[in-house]
Amino acid sequence: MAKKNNGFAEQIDLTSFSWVTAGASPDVGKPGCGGCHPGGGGMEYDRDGFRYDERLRQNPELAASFDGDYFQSKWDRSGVVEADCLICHLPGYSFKERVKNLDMLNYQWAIVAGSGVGLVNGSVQAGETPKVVYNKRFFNDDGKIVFSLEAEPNSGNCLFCHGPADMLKRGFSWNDHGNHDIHNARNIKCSHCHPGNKEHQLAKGNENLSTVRDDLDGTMRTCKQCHEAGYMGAPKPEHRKVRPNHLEKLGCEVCHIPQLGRSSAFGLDISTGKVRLYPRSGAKKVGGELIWFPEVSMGLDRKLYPVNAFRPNLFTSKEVDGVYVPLFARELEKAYKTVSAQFKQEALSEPLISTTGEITVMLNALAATLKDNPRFQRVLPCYHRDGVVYHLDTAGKLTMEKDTSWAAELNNFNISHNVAPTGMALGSKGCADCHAERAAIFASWLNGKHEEGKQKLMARFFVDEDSRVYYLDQLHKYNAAKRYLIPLLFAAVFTLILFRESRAKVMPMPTLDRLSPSGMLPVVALLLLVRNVGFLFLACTGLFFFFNKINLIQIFFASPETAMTLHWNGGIVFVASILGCTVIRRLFFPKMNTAICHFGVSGGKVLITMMVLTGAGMIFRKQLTPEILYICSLVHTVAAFVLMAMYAAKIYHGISRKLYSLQGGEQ
Amino acid sequence: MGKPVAASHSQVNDIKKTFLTIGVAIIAVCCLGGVNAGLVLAGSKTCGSFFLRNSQGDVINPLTGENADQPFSSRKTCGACHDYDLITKGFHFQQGWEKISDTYDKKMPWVLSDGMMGKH
Repeated sequence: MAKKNNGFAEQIDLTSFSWVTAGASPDVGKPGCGGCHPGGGGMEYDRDGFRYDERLRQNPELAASFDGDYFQSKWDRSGVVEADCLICHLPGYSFKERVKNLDMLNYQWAIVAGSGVGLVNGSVQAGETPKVVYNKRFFNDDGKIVFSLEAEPNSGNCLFCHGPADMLKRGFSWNDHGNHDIHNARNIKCSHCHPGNKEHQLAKGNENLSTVRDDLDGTMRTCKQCHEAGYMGAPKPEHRKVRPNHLEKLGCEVCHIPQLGRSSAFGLDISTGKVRLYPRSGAKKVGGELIWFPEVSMGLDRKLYPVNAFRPNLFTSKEVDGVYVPLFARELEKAYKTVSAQFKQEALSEPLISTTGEITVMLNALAATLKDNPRFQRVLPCYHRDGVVYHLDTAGKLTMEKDTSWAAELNNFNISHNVAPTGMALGSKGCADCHAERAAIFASWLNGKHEEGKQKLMARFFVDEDSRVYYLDQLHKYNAAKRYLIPLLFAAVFTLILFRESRAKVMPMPTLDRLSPSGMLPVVALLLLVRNVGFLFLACTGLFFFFNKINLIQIFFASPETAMTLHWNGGIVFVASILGCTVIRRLFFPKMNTAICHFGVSGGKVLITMMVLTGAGMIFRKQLTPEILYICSLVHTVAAFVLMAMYAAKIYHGISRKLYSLQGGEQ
Repeated sequence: MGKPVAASHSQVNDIKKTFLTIGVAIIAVCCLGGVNAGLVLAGSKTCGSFFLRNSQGDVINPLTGENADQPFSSRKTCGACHDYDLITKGFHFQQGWEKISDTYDKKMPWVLSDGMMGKH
């Protein structure tokens, strides 16, 4: 969009007038920008707040000025595009007729054609003044019209715009057996999840790239809010096979949108000056049938979400102050036409210009055609793709460097529709749905590791944290072994302690009756009871977590979150009881050599300290990186199992010795 | 098998009451349905019937030929009952236009707003 105030024509790309039809292909039903934007706002009033048609009629000279609202415009004849309420509220609205009339510059007539209430004859584009012939069948005898409007728009009306737009952004479709959605199958409408208020502000989710009215982000109900409250009969999730920490790290969409059935646009190619959106590899066109697996990206809340990692290519010119100024489509078209014979579209899912030779040709063409363009202080054409920026040096040689400019920002479109039934969600068939080298969620990283394509992708990872997912999976590969190795460790420690105890001299466990009489004895007894019960509680909940016994957690604690909170609260109580014992010993029994709270095992203090530190870290898990959290969890688990093994061996040995002595043997 | 027993007077009254109740219920349902159908036939589910109006606010009446070749204006037609200016403040309509400015972004001066009208 051109600025309001411009000094010369070359500065003006799209005016608000040309914006309405920009990018339209009415022959195939493809709308221009103004097709989807329903009118009102910038399609009705200029940047000074005046109606375009009235102002241009009063000041016809504006069309010859460099005003970004009026330059070469025909508002006085086309009229303005008022808000078309019927696009959303009239079932059966003809979006195709709207697009067709907008393309003919019949701006104020588009609502008549779209609503189907009358025919529009004539075209402003052709220099005519259109005439309307209303269909009298829609009118009562008193001349009033009868429309069957819907207060809550039908999903079909939303899809006029969000169908094609979100198909290319994220492979979204609705009412589509080839790309189903479980909510769609349950007759849920767009407006159920995206209700509006009187001001027509519709509830939004969180979208990575769209920035309009970000203050309204997150105003719709989340998956959790609907499914935990049973809103509209939503089933309550149990997630019995899913480790609780996964629910902290993964957005619901990661598992519940495991694949899509129609190709999104994988990239945008503007090399010819016309936008070409190309499909994912394997699809014949954007929206064509293709089973594909979304990429995964970390959101602002540090959870992973599925995305379409869209890859646009861009041409800019680097200014003297280092700013990369994007080139207009018409500037690219002019350059492309001079060298078009040298290019051939090789692969459908690639931009036209991809080899270094082709890039060099195009950059040279741009340098030649932009030479006298007053828009630039300096002409230095650049080509941006996949985190790399290419330009020609003073000798005309192509150079490439890591792109740190705005052009390298990721274009990850969130995927939040086309939700699969529970039985198709990742994890429904077990951990190997994800934790396998060929599993879809990590395929884009692992499969490409040794392929040429990987290097191209890796450039993108310089500027984001997506690579964490890859490394995290490397750690997870050891998880399967952990379930066996740690119990083995337990058995080994247990055996070792038992062996040592059997050879050691008798060192009875400290008992209260060996202590000096004191009024603090009941307190000590209570603290020891709390400590032992705490230890037992921590051991049980810890084992539930380790072996992922969600069903037991739900029986005893209702939810994993509650169990986790109780676990770390239990840990605090356990540590407090030990500290309490220690303080009492120092204050009231200073002459005692043996700590009254001694576990009876050497190394207990070290292990408990390790567990306290790692456990404390995990209480604040949201502030930790996945790698640190994983290490904390591993250390905590190992220390817990060693401590449990030592304690179990001691108890076993003590009981055995007691039984043996009762049978008359020597201790 | 025992002999059939004739219904008592009170039983007959009960049966009459039951049929009467059912009858009243059926009539009530039919009336409600009829009212509903009437509403649908009389106009839309939400707006009833109304005059179309051109951009000057004049009535368009194709049956009398009054302004019958002119396009209708949503501002004047829908806006006769609804607050058009309030509604068009919604982000679907504005798309950043309410913030558009030549100096919106100093680092990227080609970005004029946060919406699709002016973002690129």
